[in-house]
Amino acid sequence: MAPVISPFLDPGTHSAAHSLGIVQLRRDHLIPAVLAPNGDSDYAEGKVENTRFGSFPHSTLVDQPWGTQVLASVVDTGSRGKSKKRKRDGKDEGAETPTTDATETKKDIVKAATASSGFAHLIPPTPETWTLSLPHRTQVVYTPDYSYILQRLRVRPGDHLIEAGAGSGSFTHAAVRCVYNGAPGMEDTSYAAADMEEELNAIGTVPKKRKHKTRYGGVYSFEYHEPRAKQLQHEIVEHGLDPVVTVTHRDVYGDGFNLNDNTSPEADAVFLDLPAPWQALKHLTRTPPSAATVQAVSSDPSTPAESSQQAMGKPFVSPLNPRKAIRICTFSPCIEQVTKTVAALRTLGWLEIDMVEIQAKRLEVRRERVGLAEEGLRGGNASAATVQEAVQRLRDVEGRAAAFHSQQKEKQEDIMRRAEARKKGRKGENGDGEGSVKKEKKTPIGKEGLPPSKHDRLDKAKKDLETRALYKEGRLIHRTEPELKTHTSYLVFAVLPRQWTAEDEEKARKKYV
Amino acid sequence: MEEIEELKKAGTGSGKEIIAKIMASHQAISEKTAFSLAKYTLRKSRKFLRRFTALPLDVGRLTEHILEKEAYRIMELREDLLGLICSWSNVHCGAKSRVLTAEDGVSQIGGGRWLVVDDTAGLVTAALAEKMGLLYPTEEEDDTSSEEKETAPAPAPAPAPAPAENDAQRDTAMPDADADTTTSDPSTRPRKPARPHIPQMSAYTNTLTILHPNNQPNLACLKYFGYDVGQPSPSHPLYKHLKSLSWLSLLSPQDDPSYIEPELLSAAELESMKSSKRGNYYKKRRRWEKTKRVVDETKRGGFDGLVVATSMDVKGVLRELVPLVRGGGKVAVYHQNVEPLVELVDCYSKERRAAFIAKEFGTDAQQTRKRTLEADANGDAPDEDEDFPINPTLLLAPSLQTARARQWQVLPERTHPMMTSKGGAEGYLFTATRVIPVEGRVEARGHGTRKKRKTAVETPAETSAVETPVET
Repeated sequence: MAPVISPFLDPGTHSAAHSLGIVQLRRDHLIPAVLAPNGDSDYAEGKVENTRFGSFPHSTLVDQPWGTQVLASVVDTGSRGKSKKRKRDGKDEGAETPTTDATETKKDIVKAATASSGFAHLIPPTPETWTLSLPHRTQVVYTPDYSYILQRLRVRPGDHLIEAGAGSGSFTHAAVRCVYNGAPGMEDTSYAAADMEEELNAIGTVPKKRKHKTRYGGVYSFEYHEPRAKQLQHEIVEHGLDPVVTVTHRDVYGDGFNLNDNTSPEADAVFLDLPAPWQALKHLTRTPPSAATVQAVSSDPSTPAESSQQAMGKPFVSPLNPRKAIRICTFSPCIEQVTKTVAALRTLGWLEIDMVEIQAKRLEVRRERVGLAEEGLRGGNASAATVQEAVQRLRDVEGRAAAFHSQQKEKQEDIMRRAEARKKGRKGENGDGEGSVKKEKKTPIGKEGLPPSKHDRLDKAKKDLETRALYKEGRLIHRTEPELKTHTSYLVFAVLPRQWTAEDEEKARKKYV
Repeated sequence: MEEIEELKKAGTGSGKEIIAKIMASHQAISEKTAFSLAKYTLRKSRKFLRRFTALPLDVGRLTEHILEKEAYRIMELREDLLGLICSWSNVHCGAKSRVLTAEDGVSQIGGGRWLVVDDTAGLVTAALAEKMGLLYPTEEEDDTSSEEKETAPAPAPAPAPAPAENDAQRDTAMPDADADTTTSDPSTRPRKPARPHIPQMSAYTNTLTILHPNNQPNLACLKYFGYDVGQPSPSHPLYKHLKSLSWLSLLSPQDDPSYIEPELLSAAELESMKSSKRGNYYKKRRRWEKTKRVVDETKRGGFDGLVVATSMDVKGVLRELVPLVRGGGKVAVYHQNVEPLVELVDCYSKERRAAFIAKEFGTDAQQTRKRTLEADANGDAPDEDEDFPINPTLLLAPSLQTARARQWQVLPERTHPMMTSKGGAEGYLFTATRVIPVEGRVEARGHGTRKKRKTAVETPAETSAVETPVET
């Protein structure tokens, strides 16, 4: 099998050791795990992911077809390694899976036994699942935002993209997916993917020539905070994305967007997730900006306006691709940042400036069951569903009340009668016998005709539940999910057209006229 | 006034002068406030100082353009939703991906192939193609020349698939498809036409497969990108990477005439034919080869994702197509209205899934096993069409979302959201991940307290609901 670039881009059929897999427990509860079946661990089964839905040793996750439902295993989460403590303190185990862990006594990795309950799904990582599961270092750019940004920035395979303020790396991963079109060094192994058959037939010169020309996509990521930059670099390597991503630890306000050896990233698109994007904009020009513009851009007295270009004494190299129109997006939570950014963009000759805000929401769908039949059941609204039902219930209640009262009355009368009989009894025996016969007859008749009591109704509802198909009852409704992100950030978009010189004009004229 | 008219006729470059003239002749200009004067000047310069930026046409711009005039043609699909579709379908360039063979030795998996049902006149297809690097014909001069060079020496037209396929999937020989194509080899190879034929829809990786309800797919939007579906130019990347097949050819290929192999003629017979007839013969053979290749490949499944934007009943679409998506592949369904998607989500509801599992893996193990095998093959239980139109265990974490970009006016001291914007369809997206369920009953865990309560209620009943931890 050809070496894989990254499970993000080409996951293959099965999960593999030492590459990232995502264990999905619930919709928004995902665990990213670099699978290491032989990893160092205190557990007998090797490395284990412990969750409230069970324990998942890596040995059960590796070499599974992607998308598999993985059953939880019995893992002794209480006593680790040599210490033979009792494992009752394990959170999940104890109750549901009683002691079957007699097997794990050896030091080497034990084959995990399947637990009686609990499961998860093993899915290949995507920028979306990664965004939901990544370790937060800063505010994350979420899917609705980044998908819109990348769409508006027109990022395509083969493009170069500058990202400043890499943060937690969610945008980085999404951007990689957009720009990726292979990477240098991987042609030998996977180019033969039978992409174009005529190329296979004409082996030799043609494919090689083509390869030379291909411009590989790349993400140039800049981060000011050194530990974060290091962490991101580590993640990128771990995810196999290092051929596509270049992480640079840099203060872009002062030092611009060229790479460390002062070569240009030749960016086609720029994404700035910075607290003060207007301070970075002066570096994103095609020609060195005049001192006056620099001054104008950073006119805010609170920001130090130093002309870094002269200070560095390096020749000006534009970080932008000279042959294309450059699209930019800045991502700022506050409106003040936006006004400053827009002002700076206007000064520096950006066009089509547009500011939007993304309002995304997720909808939940469920069935709302209303009706008296729901009494005492979970998830239903036990009020009357219709007027008729309400009337019927009221009738029942009134009927019961009437029956109750008449019964009471009868009892009362009965007592009275008995009392009288007792009085009379001293004189004659007849009355008592009469009264008891009457009573025996009375009670059963009353119970039969009576509307059901609350207790009866609850019993009936429970019994009915077994035969009901709740999944198709009730009214299907949808509504916004309870947790709503009402504001993430303002997005400012702009375009910097390509420079059009007399030479270009001449060239175009030759070609098309 | 006349002066202004004259200046107008003078044409370019006179805009500034016209404005100056108008401003000078405006009597009430002194009564204007600073703001209204600024507005007035702006309005005038907009009228007389026509400036524009020429930008290349791309999917976003096309979307805006069509939305203004004929939104219904593209199912009122806005750019924000388009972005979501492209993200959630995980579409990306798969030119370097591998097509692998699944464990059963027949199905294939991956390779950067996406399955598409597109009723947006090809807009969704265009957006996906853009993300896969297939939409734009290679542009730069040197690039186009190499494209020609590349296509010119292509010698054998039809026979190529066989060796290539074997190459891609070294371990297992492809079963039927290969056998068929190789039998056709001897006839086609010697009679190679002078003009090299490049087989359409012949790429293996980085492809889009379009399912269409009519004889021909409606991909009108692609014409803006140099791809005419009726007469595709072989140099366009979509020529090889865009595959299309009708629902008929997918679901019952035996009824599709283009799937039926035309009679194979011997070399001698061909020799004796008139050249026009011979041409016809080749045309028919090629059409058959194309259809067969695409249909067989599609049926082998393993697509990296499924993107649906259709006015058809989505449940039926998913029933047929979800089984063709690989494990871990993404499913994204767009609709301009929420109701069809709400129904769809309901088909995957937790309760329904629990009932489905209880039904499938209830008591009689023997019978169950048989039923699952059937279900696997069809993607659903045949007799339970009404209650379970779709096998609800095949998709994980189905969710429904929408997004809208709200436009703002940004001016110093006057920043606020735009006062008006367009209403109409909101647009919704259903997303989920294709998974491979464990066969049999699976007991969930996690809701400790709730579960206890539930079992206390239901202990006598065999059919106690299986709680699934993934909430819908």
